[in-house]
Amino acid sequence: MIEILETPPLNAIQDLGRLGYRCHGVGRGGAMDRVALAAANALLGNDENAAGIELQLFPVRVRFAGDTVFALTGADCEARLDGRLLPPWWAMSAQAGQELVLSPPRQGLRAYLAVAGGIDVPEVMGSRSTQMRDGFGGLDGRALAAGDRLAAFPAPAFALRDGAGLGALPASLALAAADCPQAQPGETVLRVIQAAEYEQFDAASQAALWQTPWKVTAQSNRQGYRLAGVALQRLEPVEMRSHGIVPGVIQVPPSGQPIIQLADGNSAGGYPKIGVVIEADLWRIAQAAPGSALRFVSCTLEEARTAERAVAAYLGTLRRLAGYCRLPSLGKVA
Amino acid sequence: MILEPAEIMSLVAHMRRVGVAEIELEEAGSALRVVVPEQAIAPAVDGTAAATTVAAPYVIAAEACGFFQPGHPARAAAPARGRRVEAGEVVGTIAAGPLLRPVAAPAAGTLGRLLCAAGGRVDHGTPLFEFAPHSPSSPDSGKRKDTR
Repeated sequence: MIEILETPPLNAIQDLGRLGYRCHGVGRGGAMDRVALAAANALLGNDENAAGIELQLFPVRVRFAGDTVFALTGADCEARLDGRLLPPWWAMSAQAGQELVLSPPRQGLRAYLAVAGGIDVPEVMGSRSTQMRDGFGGLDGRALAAGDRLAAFPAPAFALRDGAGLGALPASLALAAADCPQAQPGETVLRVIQAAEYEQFDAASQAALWQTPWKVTAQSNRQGYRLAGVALQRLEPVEMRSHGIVPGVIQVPPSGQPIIQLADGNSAGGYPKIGVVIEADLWRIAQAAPGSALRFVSCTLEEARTAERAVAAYLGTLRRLAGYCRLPSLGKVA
Repeated sequence: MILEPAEIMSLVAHMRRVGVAEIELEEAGSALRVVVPEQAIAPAVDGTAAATTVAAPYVIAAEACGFFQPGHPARAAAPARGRRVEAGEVVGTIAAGPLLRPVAAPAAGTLGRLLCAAGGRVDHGTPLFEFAPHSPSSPDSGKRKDTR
């Protein structure tokens, strides 16, 4: 059981998302940084789709109402458990009454808090993630607020081999980003596959897509990131019918300033698509703060699949090795 | 093992405080002998002075195999020599693939010299840090602090 003592708005329960309902206008939703949430669950031996808490705004204070084991991944919030500083991407035991305090991260944007067993909220359309816009999923379809008490599903009782806990090598160190020689330090490099309307853009716009930085504007959230940079122009404007779109699609509205559709993005849209950020790099966007810059690197379908396999291997190996750090115990972990 | 490393550290701190140089424990077929180096039995001095003047006579050793990193691979600042740490505080990590296991302070104390290069391959028992445990604070030392 976790009690929320303090939280700004927009922090909510998420799992890996809601699949199979796009045809009804319900997008994937779920964690923006799916790798961080999956890593937290891997450290705890949870179901890989167990629900955790996505933290986008800080400071956050929670109290553990019972003994449990928790994991914290994503942006480094210099978390403190009863005052003691924890390493980032870390899992450890908490005792009833202990308080966890998270500060605004200096790098990255979103952190994920998971507990052994996963957060117990009802599944709605196959997912426990919060669809805030439509008010369902998660905890009553809303963001968390002070006073909320969250229960965890029962987990197999275990103790950690090391009292000080265990950690995961953060994804930013474990999963190499694409090479991009012109990228400046701090810029987020993303692999992009050309989308259906790529050829409709003029040569200067195509070149600008790959060769110039794209600033993340303040109009960026779970729905999508609006970018600022060179105005992208098509050779001739052609009206399009709305069609299904997925997280990662880079749309170009008439302003020429691209939009990346993300977790809570629309299920359909009619803007031309110049590219799509590969699934294996979407978590990097989740950690790119407004004011920072993105770089796009052209990528083939085969390279995208290789990158996906690298993510799966990272999470699979982490899960297997973390299993050796958990010992069956007689005490019950609630 | 009769005692966990943290308990041995705590025992050593008590031995230093009361001036005991050596003890032996036996229990159910296993035995433990603890010898405290002479210079380490010096009466406890003010904590701040101890951090800079008393040598760090013990080591924090690896309890896992892998690649050692002082601090954490994703944090810029590694714990420096002279840093005071709490019992159980994570002062380094040992990476095996994507898994990181902790290197934790066995007791409250002060870190001495780094004994293993960052990124170095370590095994069970590889010395990582010099370490000077603090004496458990007695009511006397507490009083001294209050009246300062």
